[in-house]
Order: sequence, then structure tokens, then C-alpha cells
Amino acid sequence: MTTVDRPTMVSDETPMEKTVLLLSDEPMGKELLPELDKLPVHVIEEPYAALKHLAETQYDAVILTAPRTEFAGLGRAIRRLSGEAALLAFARADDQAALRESCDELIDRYCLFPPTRGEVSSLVREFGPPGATEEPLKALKATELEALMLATQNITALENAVIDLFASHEVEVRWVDADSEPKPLLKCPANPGRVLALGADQELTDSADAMLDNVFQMLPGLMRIAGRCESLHRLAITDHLTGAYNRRYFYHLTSHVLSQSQEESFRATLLLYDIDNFKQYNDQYGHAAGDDILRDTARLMKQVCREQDIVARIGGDEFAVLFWDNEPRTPDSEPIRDILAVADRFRHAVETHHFPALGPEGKGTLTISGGLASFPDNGRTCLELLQQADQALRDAKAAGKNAIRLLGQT
Amino acid sequence: MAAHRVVILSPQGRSLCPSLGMMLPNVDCEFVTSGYEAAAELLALSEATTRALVIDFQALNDHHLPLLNIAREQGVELMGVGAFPPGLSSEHLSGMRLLGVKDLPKAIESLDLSPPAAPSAGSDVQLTPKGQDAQFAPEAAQEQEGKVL
Repeated sequence: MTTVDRPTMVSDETPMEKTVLLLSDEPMGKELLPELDKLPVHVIEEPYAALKHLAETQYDAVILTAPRTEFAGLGRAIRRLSGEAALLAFARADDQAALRESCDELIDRYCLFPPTRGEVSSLVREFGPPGATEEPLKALKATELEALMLATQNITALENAVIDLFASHEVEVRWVDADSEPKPLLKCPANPGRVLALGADQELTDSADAMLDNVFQMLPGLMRIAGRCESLHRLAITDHLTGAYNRRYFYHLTSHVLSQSQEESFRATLLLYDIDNFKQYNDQYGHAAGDDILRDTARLMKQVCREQDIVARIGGDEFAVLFWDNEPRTPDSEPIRDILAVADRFRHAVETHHFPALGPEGKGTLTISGGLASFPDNGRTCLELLQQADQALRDAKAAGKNAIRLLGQT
Repeated sequence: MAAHRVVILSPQGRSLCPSLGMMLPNVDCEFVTSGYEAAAELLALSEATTRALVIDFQALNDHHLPLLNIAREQGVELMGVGAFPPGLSSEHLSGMRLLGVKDLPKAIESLDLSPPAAPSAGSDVQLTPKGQDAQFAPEAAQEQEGKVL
């Protein structure tokens, strides 16, 4: 058993330091110990010795390293003896998934090994977000701080702002997979699988080193803001029922794509479709079944679309899809014919799909009708294309439903 | 709450002997699946006195041998069931009653469930093998369990 005790320094002015039991064998324990900074830490390698010790001494935090035999059982035993202590687990990326699966609710915080500078002591001290300490931000200039704050509209923008910040100190850094970087500078608080790494042949300058400490302190909070902004943005642009974009965002995105199509001769075709006799399904099977049908048809549409195509629910049972690609239009190209084939494939998929909400007898009874309008022949704006596609849709309905029609098709 | 408890360590958990709790209403039977949990149960403060640790040998490997010492230090009776794991020496088995699973209820019932006398300071726990009442009868256990003890 290896035991390293550091005395607890307590005074009236300073808050009492957290006490830590580190249950780890070589070499992980050896690497973690310096990271515990000046905390009073007790290190024990043998699990039973640790359990006996825990039965007599209470700790604020217990740090476990993995993998180890019967990790979950050991975790439960520690909980039994030291229920109030924060239980932190350090594991390499390869072992994390299995650990989380076996003891997700047992561990208070999973951390990637190796830890980054200050991470362990910060976790223990605060048992909150890593990096959240009360050290003053000495190395960040006001303009740099502002740049980070402004980048909190989403996580990618914030990650890029961190890269720019280091670049301004003439140090190249990049965000990489944790697996590929043995000596990360810091971890992405929003995604533990991503870490910040020095670029090839780069070294931290003194100013970048001081700045890294400040970024480490601030990043968890900034990432939380960025994550919330992303969530709010997602809520603002999507239809909550189907997960497709909402009408407003469809207008916004489509207008953007059409203006690019105008400049660079992209091909674009708009499909407007709805479910034939949808009201009857709602009346017969109930609104919950109607919701399921809408979700299922949206999912089927996403399956036949490409990633860049824009799928939106723009009304009750009415959906619009903008198919577009950056292949230039040529005089003899007929993109609308290609899209007609895609849309008809979707129509057929709906017709043959088994909708659980309709029961076994419902298979083959639910159909859709749609109308297509092509940019720029049938319209140059989103509104114009929607109007023209709506005309084609009405033609399809008038012709007996369960059909996709081109504008003016007889 | 029962005044006495028995900790039962088996990878099978309660399935080792599902009816044990019902057969022994006055004993708190605590099933655990890891040796570490068994140790925690022995070491934790509890209102009930832990009288015995039953170990399914399937759960015992080199990592868990310190558990036997903890049980002895606590003055807890050791009972073993199942086939011997490789590497277990007679020293490890010292003072342990070897049983078949079907004998467990009777063996636990036969424990002295009267309030334990406080051990005198510094006195060693008696670790001699049990005499007549011990179920150290490999042949009998083999018959019952089909396992070699």
C-alpha cells in the first residue's frame, strides 16, 4: 500500500480544503497525484485497504481509476461506506463507454485520463464544472474576453474562437479526438471526447501558457452558454412534433439557397405535399395517431432526401421540401424530372409503409399528394415557388390524389 | 428490523438461495455480488450485528482474499458454498464452514443469534475449524449440489 498524506492547512481566512482519497495503482495514480495540487490527499492502491480506511475516515471526494476488476462493485462498496463523498472516476477514452454503461448512476463525474492541468483539483474543490475557480483572469485582455463571449452562439463558434485566441499569441492549436492526443491542453467541457491540442512542432509561449489557465477557468461556463444558445436556436427553427424545420426557417433557408442559386446557377426544386384525407384519420383514429402519422411521414421523407435538402412542416399536414444541389444548370438539364422520380419514390414509400397508429388493417390506405415547382422557371422566390407548387398539388388532388404532379402537367 | 444479519456473496445474488429470507424471518440476509460490497457490509455501521459471511466460491479470486481477513477481524463466521476456486489454500479456509447451498438455512439458523458478547481488547478471534456441527462434508455436498468441494 502506498500512502501519501499531505497535512491540511486550515486557518480562519481560508476555507477548509477538501479531503481526497485516491484509490489508484501505478501508473495512473502517479500521474494524478501532481494534479491534486496542494489538496490533502491520501493514496491507497489496494481496494480492501481503502475500504477499511473509508470505514474509519470520511473524505469529501474519492477518486477511482479504471479499468479495474469489479469496478461497479467497488464503487457500490465505496458508496456504502462513504455515501456523502463525491465519487470521481478517471478512465481512458477506450474504457469510458463500458464504465458508463455498467455504473452510470454510481459515479458523480467521469473524467478522461490523462487529466489536463488543474482539472482534478478543480473538480474536487468545486465538485462543479472543471475550471470554475475564483482565480483572477490576469492573462486575458478585455478584447479577447469579448471575442470569446461573442462566440457563445454555438459550440463550434466557441471552439473556433479559442483557436483564434491562441493564434493571436502565435501558437497554433486545434481541437482533436481525445484518443489521438496523449497530452491535451484541455478538454472540451461540452464534449469530453474532444480535446485542445498543440499543433505540430508548437510550444506554449509564456503568454499563451498564462492564457491557457484563464481559458481553462472560463471555458466550462462559456460552453454551457453556447450549449443553451444552440438548444434555443434548435427550438426556434424546428417543428417540435416532427423534428423538421418550421415554416419560418424554411422561408429563411430557402431564400438563402435561392439567392445563391441565382448567383451560381444552382439547381433547385420545391416539393409541396400533404396527406390525403388527413382529417379523416384524425377523426377516426384520434389526434395522437394523427401525430404519429405526421412523424412517420417526415421520417420517411428525410430518408429519401439528401443531407443538404431542406424538409419543413409548414402547416397542419402540409410539408415543403427544397431539393437543391450545386451542379450548374445547363440548357438541356431537367433537374425537375430527377426530383419527380425522388418525390414519386417517397409517395410510393408512404403508400406501402405500415403505420402502427392505423393498425394492421391500415396498411396501404394512407397516401400523399404533392406538387413540384422548379427554380427559376416556375418562380424566383420562395413564396412564388410555394404558390406554384401549391397549384400543382391542387391539380394532383383534382386528378384523384396519391400522385406527384409537375406544374402544368396534364 | 432483524437484529442479526448475514452477508451473502455470490455472483448470482439472491438467486443463489431465493427463499432464504422467507425461511429466516429473524435474520437480515444481505445479498451482494462483489467481494468489495461484502467487505463494505461488514465494515459499515449497522443496527444489526453481522453474524456470518456466506461466500459462493465462484465470487472468490485472488483479488478478494483480503475479504476473508476482514471477516475474521470482525469476528464474523465464514461459510463457503460451491466448488473451490483454484489457488485457495488451507490457510484461507481456516475456520470456514463448507456447505452445500441447500444446507445454508439450517447452518444460519444454527448460529448463535443471541446478542454477541463484546470481544475483549486484543484477543484474537478463534479460527479453529468447526467440530461436529460443521458441514465440512465434501461427499454430502457433492450429493446435494453435484459440485466438488
